[in-house]
Amino acid sequence: MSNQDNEFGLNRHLLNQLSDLGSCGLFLPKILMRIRPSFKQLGQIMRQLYFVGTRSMIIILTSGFFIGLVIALQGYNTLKQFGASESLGAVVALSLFRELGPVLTALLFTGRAGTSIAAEIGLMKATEQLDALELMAIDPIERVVLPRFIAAIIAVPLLTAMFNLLAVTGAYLFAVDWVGLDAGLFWGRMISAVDLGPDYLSGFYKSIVFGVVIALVSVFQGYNAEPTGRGVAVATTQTVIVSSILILILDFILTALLI
Amino acid sequence: MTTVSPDTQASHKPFIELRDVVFRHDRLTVLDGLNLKVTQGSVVAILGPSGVGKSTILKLITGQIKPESGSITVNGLRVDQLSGNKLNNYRKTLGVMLQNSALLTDMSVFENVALPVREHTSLPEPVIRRLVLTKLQAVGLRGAVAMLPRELSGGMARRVALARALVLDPALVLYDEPFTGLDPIAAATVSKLIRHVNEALNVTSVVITHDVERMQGLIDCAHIIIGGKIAASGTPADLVHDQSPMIMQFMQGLPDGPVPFHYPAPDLAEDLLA
Ligand SMILES: Nc1ncnc2c1ncn2[C@@H]1O[C@H](COP(=O)(O)OP(=O)(O)OP(=O)(O)O)[C@@H](O)[C@H]1O
Ligand SMILES: [Mg+2]
Repeated sequence: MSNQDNEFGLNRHLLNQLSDLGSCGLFLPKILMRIRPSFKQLGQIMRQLYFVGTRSMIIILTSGFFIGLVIALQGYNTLKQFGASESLGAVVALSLFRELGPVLTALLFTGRAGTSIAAEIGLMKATEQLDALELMAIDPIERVVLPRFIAAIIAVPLLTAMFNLLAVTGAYLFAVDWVGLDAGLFWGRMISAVDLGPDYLSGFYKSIVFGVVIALVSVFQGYNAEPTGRGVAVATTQTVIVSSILILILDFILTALLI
Repeated sequence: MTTVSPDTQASHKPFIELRDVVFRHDRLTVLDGLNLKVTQGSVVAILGPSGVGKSTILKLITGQIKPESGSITVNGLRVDQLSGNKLNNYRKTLGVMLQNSALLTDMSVFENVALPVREHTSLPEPVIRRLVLTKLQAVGLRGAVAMLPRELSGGMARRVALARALVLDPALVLYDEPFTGLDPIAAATVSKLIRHVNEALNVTSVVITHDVERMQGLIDCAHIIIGGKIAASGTPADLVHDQSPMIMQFMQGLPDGPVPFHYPAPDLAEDLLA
């Protein structure tokens, strides 16, 4: 495995990371090749979707709510100075839908679900469960990797939508119940400011790309983990590091392309 | 106990044949020109000290690893040349019990045993249920059917793994250390079960073990591996009475003798002074 013994200095480290990214990319067609339109596979995907969804729901919903409160608080204090506090709804919605929703959800999802996918697959490898599947003529990529991969891709945009919803709710509660803005004005400004295409959809596209990145990195790290306890630990850490960096880099690139 | 005598075996075509197999891990030569024949329908033991390459032989027979040279034939198939679908079809005829039980942790005992059936047949649910419960009954764990692997003791997990290996009535069953972690009663039960399965279904069984005691009454023929080759073969009785120093040492568990206890290493004094 190339991600062990990284203590040899930055060059070696960087090269390892790059070659890892390459093999990670090559892993993608191997997974996609195994997609079959069958109820069995659909069932396995739904089962994993349920697991990753329930695992991440609480953290995504609470974070969303508090992020909404914070943006509203910060935005209100700034807008008030310009006498534009009734635009609060618009400011909140734009920053959320375009940037904060997709990026924060992706980072939180990596920490919560991506790591457990990597650890789970890595442990299955370390305890010979993947070998046992192969010996039963069951393809471990099709059976173990694929359902988790697809489930993560589906989960990220859905969780992003929930994050946004809770954040808007938080902002609304702050604006209307706490500082006493007019509810109609709050919604009205928000609706007229948000364009479905450039604002909402661009966030949605981002969240799909982030979903693919997290899904691929986590299953790749788990499947290629060194089959020991240490290997599993390395795989989970690498999942967080690699996904987070990729998410932030891709966010910049996608923003530049979509704007 | 009926045992096939080595003489009548020779007339049969072997079910498993490893010929001049060489296998290396980096620079360590694990198997060095190994030759092994297993007759159809027999129970054969592969014995040898730890780290000698017993699990490696099993992985060669299942096609998980390929030899550097030599050939592996099972039931007329060149296993070392199989891949893809052909390899999968071959594996459907195998039952393998791995050294650590390797049950799937996110499934109940029932689902673990049912997995190969669900995957490779389209039997209706009641039939699957009967099949799974019968196998679990045979290993004494029908009562544990709803438990999860993490709730099982090591010995229970091994018996579930055994039930899973046998559920599709394989033609060849490979057991990697089936007795480790079992109490004497469970070990005796598993030993009887291996023999019973062998006679009832006429399967061929390969048992990897270093449990010399357990061999009596279970196996027809044992092969002792030392130094990457077969050092001796014969019935348990033959081996117990074998006079060669290597075999005597192994069978009696003596620390000193020609069988090395140490993994290859540089001279101790040199290593300590370095
Ligand atoms: N992945 C690997 N890389 C390098 N060497 C290995 C690897 N796997 C096994 N070996 C070496 O191959 C040799 C044979 O291993 P194997 O697992 O077949 O032994 P074994 O006879 O089954 O031992 P045990 O009775 O302890 O299970 C050992 O010396 C081991 O050090
Ligand atoms: Mg072994």
